[in-house]
Amino acid sequence: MNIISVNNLTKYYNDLLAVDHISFEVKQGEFFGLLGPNGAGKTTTIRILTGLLKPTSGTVQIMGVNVTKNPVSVKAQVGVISETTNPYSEMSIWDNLMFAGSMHDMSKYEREEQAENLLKLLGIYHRRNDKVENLSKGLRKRVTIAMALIHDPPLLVLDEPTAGLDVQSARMIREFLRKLNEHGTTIFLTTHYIEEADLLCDRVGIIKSGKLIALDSPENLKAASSGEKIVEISFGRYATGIESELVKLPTVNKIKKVGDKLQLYTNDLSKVIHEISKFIERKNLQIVSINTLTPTLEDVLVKLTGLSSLDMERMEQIGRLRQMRMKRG
Amino acid sequence: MLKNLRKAVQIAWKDTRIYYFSTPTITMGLLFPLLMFLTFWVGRGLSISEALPGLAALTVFFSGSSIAVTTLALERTKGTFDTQLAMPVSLLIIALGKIIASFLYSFIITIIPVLALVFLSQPQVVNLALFFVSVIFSALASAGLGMLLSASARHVHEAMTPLNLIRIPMMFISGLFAPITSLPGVLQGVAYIMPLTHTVNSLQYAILGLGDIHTFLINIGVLVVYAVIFLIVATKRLENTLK
Repeated sequence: MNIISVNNLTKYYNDLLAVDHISFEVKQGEFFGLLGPNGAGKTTTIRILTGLLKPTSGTVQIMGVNVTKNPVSVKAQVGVISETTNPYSEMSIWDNLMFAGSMHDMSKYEREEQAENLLKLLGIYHRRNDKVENLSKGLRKRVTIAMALIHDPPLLVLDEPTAGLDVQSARMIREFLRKLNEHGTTIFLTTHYIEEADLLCDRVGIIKSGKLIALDSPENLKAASSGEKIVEISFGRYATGIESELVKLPTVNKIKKVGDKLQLYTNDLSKVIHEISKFIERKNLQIVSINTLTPTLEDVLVKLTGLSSLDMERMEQIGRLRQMRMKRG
Repeated sequence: MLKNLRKAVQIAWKDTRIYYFSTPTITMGLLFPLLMFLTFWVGRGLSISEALPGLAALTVFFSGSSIAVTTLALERTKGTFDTQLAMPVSLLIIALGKIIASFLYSFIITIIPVLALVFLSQPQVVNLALFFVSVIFSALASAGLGMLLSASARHVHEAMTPLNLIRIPMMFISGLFAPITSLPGVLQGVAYIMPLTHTVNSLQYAILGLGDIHTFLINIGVLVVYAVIFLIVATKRLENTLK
């Protein structure tokens, strides 16, 4: 059964086409990720899905209900976590949850029972009387998650859930989401962290300039893009100019320096290894390690979106800057 | 219906706890009308009875509209308005909840000083019940005006600026400081379009006995119409922000 059905969804901001006729389905119990560079249309899509924005054309159905026509009934079935759905900082954690529960017509007993369970699961029950303004970014995110889950929704929609969080909080939230999904909650998320999508998602959609350009499981996407193989080599000593010489080898398509390692992209693994051996002999170099790598989801994203590794670094930088801004704010 | 009203009350209760003591609310809703009142009252030799309608009208109008602006625009700035939007509540109920919070603030802020003056100075008040009626509907209309102007504002100043552009000139032509009959012909017409004029007129009848009950009822009717129109248009404007 499809829990989300998106059909020909299009969104214009004046003349700017943000989402361009995208269609996809998300099945019940699935962990679905939407990936893409900044400005690709991920957040716009998620805002339309959750009734926070109206589409220019096309339809979104959540559990068979049209979001645009019946936003209130859809919102009763969805939990939303985004960078713009913050808890009320002037109120305590507990009061935030009580307010969220009251908006879902829950009785006082139901609200209190569910709030206690969620806060214990998220490890913040002992801080329940603290005002949100006194919490760290990671703890605030946990409050947002608890508020989104107060009514035990069958679908949880998350926009960049771990953006700006420290490693421990991000890991805790990923683990929590994974368990939630194992217990039957359908999860739809967007993320900058491609590794996060690779670890968590059953399927991912890749969006570029508002268009959905790929939709499959991470492993299928990697397999489909594995025409190009990677050989990763680490030399005992780094010789200046070695990259420009290696890239001239006939079977090497491109070369990337990653830390103290060089990654050689090729279409013919056997030949490239033969050529590398000859090169090493000729230059009298010493190999510390040599590995063949399968493409990562990041490689797939780079290939499909046409982003360079520099762009990917910029994406990470933008994420870090956003994180710093949020810390300051 | 009852469920929705309960949600509106919950929203109002939340706003009450968060925004009643915020800086824009205190500055523009309490201090500003008080200072304006003192500016015009001091040295003019008016009795407390004569001053009461002006004090009440300024307070009810400035406080109600200020808190309505503050609650919505501050939530947008702080990123909590989407939290509210993501919950299963219609925009009409969100607007209504915020209007209820603003109305209660405006009502309480207005009646406390006025009742204190009444009990301390025992000035002439023709009808305390009609005074309450006037304050209630004026508070609703002023809260609605604030909600209307803040419906699409992302920051407090984006809504406070047009609000002040409307309510400050309105103050001078609503009969607060000079009778409407002393205004030029065109301004007299404009004055009767202004909701504050109907607040002033109804308060003057309740406190000083100026006018008659029919005019009082018309004034209240106009304030009700304004409150309803402001709520509907505010909801429409909120809807437009989702486009």
